[in-house]
Amino acid sequence: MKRVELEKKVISENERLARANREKYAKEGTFVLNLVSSPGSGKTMLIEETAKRLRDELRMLVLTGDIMTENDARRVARHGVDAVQITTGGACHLDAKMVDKKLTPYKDRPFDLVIVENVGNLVCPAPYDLGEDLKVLLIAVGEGDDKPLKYPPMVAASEVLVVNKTDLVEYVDSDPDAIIENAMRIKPDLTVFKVSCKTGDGLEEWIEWLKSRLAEKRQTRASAQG
Amino acid sequence: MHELGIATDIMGVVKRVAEDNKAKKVGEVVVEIGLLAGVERDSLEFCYEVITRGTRLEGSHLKVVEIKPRARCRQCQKEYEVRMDNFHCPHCNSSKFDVVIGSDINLKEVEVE
Repeated sequence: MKRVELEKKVISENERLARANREKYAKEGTFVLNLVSSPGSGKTMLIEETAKRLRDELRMLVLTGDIMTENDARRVARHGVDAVQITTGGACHLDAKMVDKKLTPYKDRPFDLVIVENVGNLVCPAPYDLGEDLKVLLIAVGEGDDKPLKYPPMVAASEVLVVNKTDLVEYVDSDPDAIIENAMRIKPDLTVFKVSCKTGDGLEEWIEWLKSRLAEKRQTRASAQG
Repeated sequence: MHELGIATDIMGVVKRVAEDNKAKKVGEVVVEIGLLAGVERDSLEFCYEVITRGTRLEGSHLKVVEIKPRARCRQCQKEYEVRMDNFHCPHCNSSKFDVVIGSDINLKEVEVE
């Protein structure tokens, strides 16, 4: 037997599709968020609160991923934004193909902002690029302040950390700053927000920052088009 | 759970290598996997074995080499092996660094006959 030496990065089919998505959404001027967390950290509620504050100024779509039920899409649609459920049947993460399939029907009228709510899972969604601009990791107080250390690939893959349910701190013996400090041991450049979707605390900073990132992308697109 | 997809991608590349080398038989396939790639080693080996059964690659097997992540410190410029529970620079304790390897899956070697 002879050995053939290669130095080949295995680029999965998903990576190829994610790159194609990213190029397409950049051309269309659509900003895409991939929201990841454990089940029950408050992804849907963060999306609802974001939708309420941005629906009048942006054309916005929410894709909600779950194994079963259309509950989340219904919850989000109540706020007057487009919402489409992706039920994976059993898959533990969303992939680039599922996302693009749901966006294709809208290709003639692209959105300004698409928020993808991934399946609640801190493991499998980490290596699955969807073609998003930003991966946002949500951790709620009370999940365990050392949670970022238990799931380092997910922290390393994210650009933003939102610590949610800060209104519960006194009941659950948790320190949001400890969560942040642990996450920063893995990813020091994280942009961090502390919010309570219940009381609205901290949401203004999140919205303002999101708006500035959207404006940045629009500007890049405008200058690329000359 | 996504190891099946990765095993399929690896099998695709190995098939091409086998064809290019007019191989009758494929033996060991060496794959390097970064610990940040989120791939479970046993599961990947198992998936590869299952999907190659009944194909011309039957009998070949994966040898997985795990690659520990390395980072370069932006402050002291030194490169270091990342501890999975604390990515900070062990030399100057800086929290500003770039992970340089450890997220990829690389096909390194295919044994053909």
